[in-house]
Amino acid sequence: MADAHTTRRGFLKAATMAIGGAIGAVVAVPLVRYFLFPVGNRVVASADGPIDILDASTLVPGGAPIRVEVSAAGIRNAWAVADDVTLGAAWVRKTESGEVEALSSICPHLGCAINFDDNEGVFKCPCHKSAFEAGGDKISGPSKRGLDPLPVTVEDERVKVTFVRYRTDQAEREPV
Amino acid sequence: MKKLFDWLDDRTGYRESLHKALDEDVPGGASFAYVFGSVLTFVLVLQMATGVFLAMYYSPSATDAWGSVAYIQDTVTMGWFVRGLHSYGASAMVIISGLHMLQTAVYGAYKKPREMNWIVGVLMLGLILAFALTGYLLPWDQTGYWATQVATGIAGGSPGIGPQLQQAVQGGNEYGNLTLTRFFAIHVFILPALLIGLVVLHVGLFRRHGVTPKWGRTKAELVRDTQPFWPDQLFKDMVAIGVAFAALVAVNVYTEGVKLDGPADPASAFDARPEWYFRPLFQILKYFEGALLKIVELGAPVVIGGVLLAIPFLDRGDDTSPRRRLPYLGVLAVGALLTVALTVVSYLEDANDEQHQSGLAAAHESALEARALAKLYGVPTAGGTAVYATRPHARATELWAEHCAACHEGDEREAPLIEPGYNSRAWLRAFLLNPDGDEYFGMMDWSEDARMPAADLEGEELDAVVEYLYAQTGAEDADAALATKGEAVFDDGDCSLCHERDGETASSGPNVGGRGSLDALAEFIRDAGQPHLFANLNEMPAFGRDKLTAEERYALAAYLRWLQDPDAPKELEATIDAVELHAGE
Repeated sequence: MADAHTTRRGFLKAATMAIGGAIGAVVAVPLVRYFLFPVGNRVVASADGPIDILDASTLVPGGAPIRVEVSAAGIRNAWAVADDVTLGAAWVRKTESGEVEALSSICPHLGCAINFDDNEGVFKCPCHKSAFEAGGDKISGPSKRGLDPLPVTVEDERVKVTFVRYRTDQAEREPV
Repeated sequence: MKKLFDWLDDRTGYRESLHKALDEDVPGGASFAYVFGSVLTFVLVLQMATGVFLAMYYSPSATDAWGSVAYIQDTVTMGWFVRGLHSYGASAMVIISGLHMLQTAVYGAYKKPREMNWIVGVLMLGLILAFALTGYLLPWDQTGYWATQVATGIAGGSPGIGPQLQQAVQGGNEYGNLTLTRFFAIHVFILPALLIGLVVLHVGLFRRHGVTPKWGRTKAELVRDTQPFWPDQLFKDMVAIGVAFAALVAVNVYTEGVKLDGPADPASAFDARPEWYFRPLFQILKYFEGALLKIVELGAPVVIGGVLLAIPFLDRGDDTSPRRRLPYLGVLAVGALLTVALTVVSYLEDANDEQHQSGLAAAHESALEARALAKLYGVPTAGGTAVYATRPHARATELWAEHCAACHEGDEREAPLIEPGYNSRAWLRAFLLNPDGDEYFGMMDWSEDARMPAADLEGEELDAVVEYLYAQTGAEDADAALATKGEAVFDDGDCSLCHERDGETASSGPNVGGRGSLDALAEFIRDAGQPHLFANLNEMPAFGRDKLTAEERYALAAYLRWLQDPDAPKELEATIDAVELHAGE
């Protein structure tokens, strides 16, 4: 009799846990998939391609770089769409030879916004003191690479920049 | 492994706690009559889990709420499933609460010494309904918005403090961001805290007094049949939980989630209905008016709650047999029947109300369109209803309906027919061969000599002139070589007798230079009576700044250019129809 009870109760315990486990799985699997939806998904996206940022004639050959905001005409942010959204900033200059260059204002070390020191003619990161030449090459500090050049074109005297965000704190340049 | 658990037990004493929690005696034996509390607890936990996950994507702002819920419903992986579980789960809470109370009442389990148990339970029912009411608004869709307006409106009719109460509840003078943030905070912070507190109290009281066994058994019988909670009762609980959960998932999967209405539009005439469990209250209000209505609106919930709270104090005596308690159970039964009857009548009335049904169908169509557009193009930052404007040429279509359709569409036209394919090659060819046709200038009040004769062209010459005119519209697929040939035919033949083609010079017929291009169309809309256009033959009203802005004229011009492809509207419809939505109903 005691054995029968033990067997019966053993079955009830196992069955209870089995049902509970099945319910848990039917809830947990969808929740995990739901949670991971944004992973590897471009939930924030703006149109790729060059963005018109300024008149090329405002740049003096050999002059100091100037800071220009880069705004996307439209951005999709999860469910929302917005017009004229600032993506970031670029430092733009014209070299002695008349070439237009653009550098991302994001420090490749840990993502602070870099400044240009007019007196010394170098870029300096206010956070961790990385320093870069006007052309972007690294001079000193913890950054593992130079400043990130942004693809730039000049069409009809308008400077157009493609804004790219790179992974920080690594030697190679890898888009996010 | 055992060592690890021994260590854990030594430091926490978890085995004793577990033992205390599980090894409770169930006098008279385990029973399926006792499962409802456990099922409710399970659904409550499910509501918390799904609720927390919904909050990961939900945004409680008047401009973003609808868009974020539409995103959950139609874009996020399994979002429809999670949202459906949460929404149907709310219904499950109400149904199972009802069953739980029914069982408690029939078994007389609210009797001394368990009155407080029952009272806490009634309060929890109130909280569950408050959850339902606040949650219903959060998607900021038509149904939630309008149904909740009614609820807060009733609160606003309270004697004395009505307006203040309403403003406190809805967070200001009107529905807006503060209404949502307020409802959200109440729904996800305040109500859960209160409910969890009451659940702890309720379960604690239950453990203190134990189950109320079925009537008619002696103490000795109960002791003899006693079984332990674990596993005997918990197994039965788990079976019931499994059944309830399976039903919930089945409904959710069958309907592909719960429906989402179109974005809340304060300007629309939406025929709102509350969730099904508020239907009896909704229905009963129809039978009263004036001061009596006010009394019923505010009084009905008070009376229902009052009767429920009072029952254990009225139905005294030790005998739990239902036969001895017929008057009290009768009151509850009549109340329950009345509730069911009002609900049924309410749904029947709606089912037989054609106007309501067609309104529902239209709202459903509009909701599906809004959701498809939201998925395709996103919701503009202006808010939910702005999603309709993301449909390509949405503004122009409105302007068209308002200013142009009366003359350019249908059989009562007073001007050339404009429909998909307007200014396409086929349209131009047919026009040249029969300018006085019904679809073209047939209905104009022009004298015979002002009318354009059919073009005396055929074969390659006709093709070339068609291509030349087609190229004027700025069509990108125009054949430049053929168009140049057409230009020569135009100049050498009869066309040039009446038509200049530089886009400026006046001639007896309209100048065809750039005809049908974006700029030319906008200019034509501004004033078709300009010398280089129809001049004194013109019958079309001018749409200058007093009627349309330049932007609006260009929007219309772009719409007409888009219509050039006869399949464009159909293709757009197909694109929108093809958007995969997890519909719900």
